[in-house]
Amino acid sequence: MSMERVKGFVETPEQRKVSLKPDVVLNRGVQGLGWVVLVAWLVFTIVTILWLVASSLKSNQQFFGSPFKLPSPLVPSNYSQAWSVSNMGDYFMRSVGIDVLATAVAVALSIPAAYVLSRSTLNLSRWIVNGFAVGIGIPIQIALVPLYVALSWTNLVNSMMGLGLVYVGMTIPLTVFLLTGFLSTVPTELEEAARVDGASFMGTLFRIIVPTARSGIATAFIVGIVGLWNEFIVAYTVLTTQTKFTLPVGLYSLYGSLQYTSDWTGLMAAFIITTFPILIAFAILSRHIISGLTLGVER
Amino acid sequence: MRNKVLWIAAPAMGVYLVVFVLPVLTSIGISLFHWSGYSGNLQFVGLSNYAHLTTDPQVGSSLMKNFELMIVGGAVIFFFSLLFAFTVWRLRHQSLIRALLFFPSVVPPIALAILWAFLYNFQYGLINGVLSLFGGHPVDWTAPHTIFPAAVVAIIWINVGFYTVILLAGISKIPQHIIDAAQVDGANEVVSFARIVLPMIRDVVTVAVALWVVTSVKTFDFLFAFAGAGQVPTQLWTLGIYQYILSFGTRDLPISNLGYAEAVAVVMVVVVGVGFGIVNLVFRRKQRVEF
Repeated sequence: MSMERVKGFVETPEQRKVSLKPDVVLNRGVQGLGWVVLVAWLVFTIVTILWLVASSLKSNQQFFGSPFKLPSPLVPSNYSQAWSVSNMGDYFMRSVGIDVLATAVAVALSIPAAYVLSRSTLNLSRWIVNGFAVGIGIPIQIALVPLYVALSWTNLVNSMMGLGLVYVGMTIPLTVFLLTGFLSTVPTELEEAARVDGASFMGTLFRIIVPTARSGIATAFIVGIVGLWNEFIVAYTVLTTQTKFTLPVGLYSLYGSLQYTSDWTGLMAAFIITTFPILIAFAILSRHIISGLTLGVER
Repeated sequence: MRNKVLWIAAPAMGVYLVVFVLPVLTSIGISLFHWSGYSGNLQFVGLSNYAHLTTDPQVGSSLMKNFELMIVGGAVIFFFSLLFAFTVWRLRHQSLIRALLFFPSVVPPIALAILWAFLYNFQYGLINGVLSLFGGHPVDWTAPHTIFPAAVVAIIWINVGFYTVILLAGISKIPQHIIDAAQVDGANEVVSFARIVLPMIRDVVTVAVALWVVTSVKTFDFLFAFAGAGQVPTQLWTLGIYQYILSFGTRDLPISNLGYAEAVAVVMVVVVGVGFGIVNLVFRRKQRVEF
């Protein structure tokens, strides 16, 4: 169309009709709609984040007086208050410890399992992988009553040991599934060469498989930690005293005390303390996180 | 060749069996008993807990909430995801947009619930603030009759980025020459997306829809905290919330029969299973296509 105009042709009414054919209108319309909605969506998201950060730096009087103005003066003490007085620092350290440890154990158990499962040609091993995949689909809350009873039999209610054990079991289906998928894309030539050279199974696993699967292992590890960092229902059920809380449970309990304290801006600071590390991790490791959380659809 | 060493998988399987599979099977077993939960005294009652499901009005209303979230919420999520995937799939620099859309998926749902409670707040919330900026009247978004739709809107916002990214991941695997060929043949953007791209990522769409079926039934933390810590109004009682309350009780509703709680849990598994089956029937290809 436009090319014809450039060349100096005069549009006939027929040609004009061609340019307004329904599919052209539909095409332009959908593209325009897409951009308008997408931009509105992103603006809303960004404004929400900025509002949250701004509010966390205000005093409560500032916030209640003018919730949509910029903070002045800045009140960074919300953060130190949340960290020490509201125990967020304590919850934070505990979350880091238990999440890293539980994920490390889960990944360590998953690597050899995923290796043999990805190399096995038996039907049985396919069933085992499917069995792990089912574990990703079933809500953990269904297992919660028997788990709670078992933990109280073994005196592990309200203990990091008990919660960590459940976390390992919750993480394994995901890490085995991800690693099996990853390892089945790794060519077998290297390990066969190693075997010809007389390497033992363990030698092959540690010298060949682990180094070549580094990026898959990293993905499994990161996604495991993200999952546990955000985990609430098990921790909320198993942990009964404040001195044992993880971050999400601590944030929930702080949220509960809001009705007595009305400390909104302090809660927002606690909110940011909870989400900030995961957002930083996401900014740096988004490729791993996205590929893992989408169960390897993106690889 | 490696079949002999399958036992190497035993430790991972063992932990998984003990911590996950066994408790799930035990739950299914408990659903056949009447159990007050305060003693070790379990009374076998056969299927009577399941019979009770049909006479409990809360089960029906919770099921409806699950379906609203799964079907209505899912339709909106996939509408936006497809629209966004269509809008950005040709861009060379998508990563910032993708990250901004995706990030709610890595934020703890408890935090997101608090965030949305703030956004919806009648007096100080951002949404009413923007409304009044344009001369509108503030709306009580979390009033009893609007709180569930308000929660669904938030859950939509949380999930759209995740499914957009999955769709974009599928699209990025389509060989470029196929897209080019369609363009040479004169297909415009909408036509090539609808006729070429979507059919080619059918498997990815199937996985995405199946994942949403699971996610919608699993959604718990957000609804649990959305109305404030300490109490969950019945308007937000999906099967998951109801099952948890039956299992662990509240001040107003102490536990009375854990067998019944587990019967509700089994209904949740059945909903996931049936949802999976339907997704498979609707989306499965007649033949596998390689490209």
